[in-house]
Amino acid sequence: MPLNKEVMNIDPEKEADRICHFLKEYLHEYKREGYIVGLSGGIDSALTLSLCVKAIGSKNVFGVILPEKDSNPISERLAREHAESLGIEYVVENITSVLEAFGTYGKRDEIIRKIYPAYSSNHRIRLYLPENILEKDSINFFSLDIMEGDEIVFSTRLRRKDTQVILAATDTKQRTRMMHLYYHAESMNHAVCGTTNRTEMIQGYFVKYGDGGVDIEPLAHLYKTQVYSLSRHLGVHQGIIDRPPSPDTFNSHVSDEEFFFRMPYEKLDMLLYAWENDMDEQGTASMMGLGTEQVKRAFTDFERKHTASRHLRILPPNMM
Amino acid sequence: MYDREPLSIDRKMEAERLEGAISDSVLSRIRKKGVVIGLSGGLDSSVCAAICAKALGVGRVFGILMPEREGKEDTNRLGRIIADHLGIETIVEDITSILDASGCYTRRGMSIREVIPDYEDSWKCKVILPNILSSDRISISQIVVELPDGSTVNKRMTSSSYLGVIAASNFKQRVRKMMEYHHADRLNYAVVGTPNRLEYELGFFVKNGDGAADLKPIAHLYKSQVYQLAEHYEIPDEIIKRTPTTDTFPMEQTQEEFYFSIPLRTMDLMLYCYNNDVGLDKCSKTTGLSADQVLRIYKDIEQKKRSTSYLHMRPELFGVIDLPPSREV
Repeated sequence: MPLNKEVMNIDPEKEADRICHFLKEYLHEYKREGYIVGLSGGIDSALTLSLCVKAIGSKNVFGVILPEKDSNPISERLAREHAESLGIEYVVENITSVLEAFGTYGKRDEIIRKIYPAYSSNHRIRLYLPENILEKDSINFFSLDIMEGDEIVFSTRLRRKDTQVILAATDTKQRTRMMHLYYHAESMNHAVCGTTNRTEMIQGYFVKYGDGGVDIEPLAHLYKTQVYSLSRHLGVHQGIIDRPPSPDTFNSHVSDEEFFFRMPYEKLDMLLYAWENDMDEQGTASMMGLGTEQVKRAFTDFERKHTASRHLRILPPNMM
Repeated sequence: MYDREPLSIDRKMEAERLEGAISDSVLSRIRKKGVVIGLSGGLDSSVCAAICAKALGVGRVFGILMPEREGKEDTNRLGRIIADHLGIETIVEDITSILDASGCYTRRGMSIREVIPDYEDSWKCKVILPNILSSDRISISQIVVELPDGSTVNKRMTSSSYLGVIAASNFKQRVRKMMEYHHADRLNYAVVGTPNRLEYELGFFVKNGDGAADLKPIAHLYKSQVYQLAEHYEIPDEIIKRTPTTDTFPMEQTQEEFYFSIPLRTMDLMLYCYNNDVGLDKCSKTTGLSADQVLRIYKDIEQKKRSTSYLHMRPELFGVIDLPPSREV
């Protein structure tokens, strides 16, 4: 099949039913009584929640909102509003003290202070990859911005080793959340429902045993574009739909596009589809109104990310 | 220490096979520079550390001791002994404050009070299962608490209290794993999981806790085979002789009491018989158990395998993510 806009089309009614069936089957097979959903205030978890409620009713779905001091306050508000509109029970547990005890902030700040000695609690930070991969070929090296108010006071490309240490620290945010979700799941005999979509799954945009550490992934077959159309169909909170998706991990805003994907979702999903299906670069380019070089760059980026994240998607090898 | 005919292995051969396979796995397939391993002072983590040190070189193994306020003192001391014995770099990360902040201790207390209303969080406690050999009753767990005057109270747990206590305790395994991954990510190392075959097959591990790892070098070995490897690697005697413990509850508690409900050496042989379709007669002769007891344990094995099967799965995906073979997910 040639690449065309229709490949992203889904029948939302049918798709929602299919997913609901899958969600119900899992509970039946593993004898769990309901689902725990971690609510970030983003679209993926909001859609997941709506689907769970549609599948099994609001009584057996429990929401957990896990903000920390770097989270955008809007996230918590939107998560609460969406949970309330669906009539589910939820708790808010602030995980800042757990992260402080772990040393998440301290370990991260130590590296940043090494790079920028004047770094203090008045500053905010963000990490991002070089912008638009389609325009310019560049490898996935992170840059760091240090902000004072809205002003960037310092900006640098991070050394690989420093990136590693900063992310090793901030990844504890996702893992701490996983831990809390499982506490509730295990006390209630529920399953933990994941929220990773296909666009993220294929490129490894999740933390191993963090947001990737769940029992079931009902969105893993849907491109982000499809997550949006299903969300609109199911009446997910408009404020959540309109908000640019973000990892919400750094205290200065950075979008998923800036942090990881390096191009807008609409283009990204189509290109990913073409790459997954081994479509030729030239045809893809002319269909999308891009240059062949640009498509090549995108494909190379997918290849890199997919290969680098393979270990996230497999079970631990063993010799049994 | 035990060693029975059907489970004896050629130690040297198995050790060499594992060393080759691990070096291949870590350096070429997982493509990391070394491994992180949490040292509990127990046999399994000690043997895993020894194999990895030999396979990758001592410079590529990073040990972490993770005591908390309820852990046995032994844990740290024996962990240190194995680290020194192997000569691997090892750090201590006390996880008490993280557990405090997560509410591990207070949430557990809350669930214990569902059955023992007077319980205070500072009292010692543990969860035990009845021995399955002496009764066929479905295993109902009991909570044991130790009062400040040293006396103990024993209560059968309700399902909600049991689930709550286990869920809260599981913070310990998950915090430890989070710590291991933190150091692994920082160093660009892989994380070693240390379950043996009994634990692996019967599901005695915490999902995304001690069950989480990039490789599990001894998951195919019965406990008695791990003991044999321990001799091959000349693991210090003190570690070999220690009774396997869960080290999860403040009261002394063996793995037998908590999960396997029969002595480990018997469970080892029983699982072997079960896996290899050994006839009832022969199994009963090998283990010294009555046919009736053997059947009861078979049932227990089946039940454990069934109820823990989900621990072995990666998250279920909805529908296949079809990629060309060269781009296998």
